[in-house]
Amino acid sequence: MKKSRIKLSLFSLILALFLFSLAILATGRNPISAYWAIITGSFGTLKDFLNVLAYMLPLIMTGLGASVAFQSGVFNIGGEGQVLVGGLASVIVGLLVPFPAPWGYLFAMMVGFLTGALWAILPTLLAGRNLTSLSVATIMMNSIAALLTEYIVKQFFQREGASNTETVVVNEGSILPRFFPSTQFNYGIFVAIICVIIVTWFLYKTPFGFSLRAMGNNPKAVQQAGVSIYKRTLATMFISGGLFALAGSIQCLAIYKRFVMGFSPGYGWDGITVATLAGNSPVGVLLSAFLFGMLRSASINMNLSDQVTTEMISVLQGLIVVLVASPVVWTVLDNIFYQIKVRVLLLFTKKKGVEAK
Amino acid sequence: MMENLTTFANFFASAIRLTAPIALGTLACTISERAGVINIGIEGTMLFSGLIAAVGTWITGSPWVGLLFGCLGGVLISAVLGVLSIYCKGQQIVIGIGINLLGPGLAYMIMRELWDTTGISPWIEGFGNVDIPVLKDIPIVNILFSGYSACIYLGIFAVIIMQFMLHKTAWGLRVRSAGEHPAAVATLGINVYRLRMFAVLLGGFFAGMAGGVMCLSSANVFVNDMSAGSGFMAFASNQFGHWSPVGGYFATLLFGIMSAFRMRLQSLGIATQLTQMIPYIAVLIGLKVTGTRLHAPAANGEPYTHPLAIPQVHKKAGSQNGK
Repeated sequence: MKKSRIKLSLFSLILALFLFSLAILATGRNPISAYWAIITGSFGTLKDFLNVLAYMLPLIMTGLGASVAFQSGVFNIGGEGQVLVGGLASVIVGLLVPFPAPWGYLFAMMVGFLTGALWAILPTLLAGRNLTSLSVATIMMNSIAALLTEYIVKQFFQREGASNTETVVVNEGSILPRFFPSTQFNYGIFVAIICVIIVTWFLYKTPFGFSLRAMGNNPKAVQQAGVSIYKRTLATMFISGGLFALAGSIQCLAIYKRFVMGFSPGYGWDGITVATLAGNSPVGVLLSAFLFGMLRSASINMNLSDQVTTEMISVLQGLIVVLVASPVVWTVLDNIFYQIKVRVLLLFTKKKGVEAK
Repeated sequence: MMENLTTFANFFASAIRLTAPIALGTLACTISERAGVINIGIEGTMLFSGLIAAVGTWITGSPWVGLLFGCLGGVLISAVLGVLSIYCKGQQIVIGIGINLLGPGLAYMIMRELWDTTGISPWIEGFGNVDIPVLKDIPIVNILFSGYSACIYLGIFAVIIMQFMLHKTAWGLRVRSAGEHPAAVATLGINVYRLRMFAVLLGGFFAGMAGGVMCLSSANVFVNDMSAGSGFMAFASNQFGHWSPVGGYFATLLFGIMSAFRMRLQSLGIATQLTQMIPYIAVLIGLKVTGTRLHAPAANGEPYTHPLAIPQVHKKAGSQNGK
C-alpha cells in the first residue's frame, strides 16, 4: 500500500471519528467516554480481547472478498447474500455428512466457498460487465438469498420447538473448534490468515492477479491487450463470492454451530467498509477488520451497548466509506495544511531576514 | 365479465399503490443520472427521509408538513452525495453505498432518541384518500383512477412534470447534455458543477418525497428497514425505463404488478418466502432483457473537471518558496 493511501485512510478515519463524535454529542452522550468504553471493552481483559478477535474473523473474510472485487473494478455489493448462502450450505453439509473432526469442517467450508462463489456468478451471468447493472443484480441477489435461506430452513431443516428459524446443531466433526470454551475465538483465524496470504500472493505475484488489477485500473487497456474482460469479471466474482461465503461458514460452524435466521448483522456491508478503509489491500484488511471488530464487539457487549449502539456503528461506517471514496477532500485539506505550514515558515524566515539586516 | 374487469382493476390499482414510493425513487434516480451522477444511495435516502417525514408529522400532526420535512431530509442527504461526487470527484457508486449505511444509521439513531426503540414508530396521521369528482361515479374507472391518497397523485404529477422539464425545456436539454458530454455544455458558458448539483438535489427532493410517501400513504408508521430494497428496485427500474421519467414509471408499474401478483399467489397457499422473491427476480430478468441494448448517459458516473479549474498547488511547487 502506498504511503499516500495510508495517509488518506488515516485522515478519513480521523475526520469520520470527529464527525461521529458530533453525532454522539447530539444524542446527549459524551463521545470521549464512548471511545474510552470501546477501548476498555476491547483490551480490558484477555477474554474481551479474544472476543474482539472473534468478531474480527468474519470481517477479515468479507473484507478480503470486497477488496478482491474492488481491485478488479467489479462492484460486488451482494456480499450479504453470499454470506447467508455460504453459511447455509456449510450447515447443510455439516448436518448431512458425518466426517470426523478435521475433514468435517474443512469439507463443509469448502462447500460453503463453492456455493457462495456460484451464487455470485449467477448475477454476473445475468448482468454482464455493466457496472451499474451488476451492482443492482447483486443487491437483488441479497434479498433473494435472505428469502431462499429462510424458505429452505423452514421447509427442510427447522428445529422442532424452536421459536425462530433455525436448524439443529451440526455433526460433532463439522463444528469448527474454539481455542477456549468461554470465548468465541476459534480456528477460523487460521482460515483467515491463510486466505490473506493466498489473496496477497494471488493479486500481487501471479499474472492472473496482475490482469485483474489491471482491469480495475483501466479496463479498456486490458481489453486492447486481448484479455476477455467478461471472463475476468466472472473469475473475480467467483473468488470474491467464495471469500464472502467463508465468513458465513465460519460464523455458522464455530459460533452458532447451526444456521440461525439473521445471524449476519450485515457482514456483507461491513466487508465493503473494511475494504474501502484498507485501500483494498489484503494486509490492510487485517488492520481495519480489527478496528471494526472492536466496534462490533462494543455494540454487542451488554455493558457498553448503551454507549455504543448498532446504528451508531452504521453511521460511522457510512462516514468512513463516504470520506475514503472522495480523496479530493484530503487533497484540498492537505494543501491548506501545507499552505499554512509554508506561510508560517516564510513568516519566520522573513523575520530572520529583517533581523539580519 | 364485469366481475373480471373489477378484479383486474383492483389488481392494477393495488400495483399503483404499492409502487408509489418506488416510482418517485425512480424519478430521483433518473434526474441525477441524466445529469451524470449515479445515485445508488436512494435506499438510504428513502429510509432517512421516511423517518424525517414521520417525525415531522408526529410533531405537527399534519402529513403535508411531514412530507415537506421528508423532502428536505432527502435534499440534505443528497447534498452529501452531490458535494463529494461533483466537487470532490469521489467514486459515485462507493459514496452511494456509504449513504446506504449512513442514512438508515442516522434514522435509527434519531428514532432511538425520540421513541427509545428502533423497531416501529408510534402511529402517525397519514394522507386520506381523495376521490376525483367525475371519475368516481364511473364503474371501473373509479377503481383505476380515483380513491388513491393525495401523495400518490402528487407523485404521478411529478413524473409528468419532470418528463416535460427534461425533454421540452432548455434546462432539461442542459441537464441531459451534462450527462452526455459535460465539456460541450461548459463551452456554452454553463456551470456544469452547479447544473449537476442542482439535478442531484432535485433528485434528493424526490427521493425524500418517496420516503415520505412510503410512510404516510398507507402504512402510517415508520418501521425498521421499511423500504426493503425498494430503493434498489428504483435504481433498476430507472435502467429498465431507459433513463426517462415516464419510461421509469411504467417500469416500476411492471414491478408493481409483480408485487400485486405475489399477493394473489400468497392467497393460493404458496410459501411466503417464494412469492416475496417474485419482484426481485423480475428485476433480474428485466436487467437481463435490457442489458444488451442499454445506452446509458455517456458521462454517467464520470466526475467532470473544468479545463480552467484552479490547478492544485503541488508540494514541489510549494517547496521552492521554502528555499
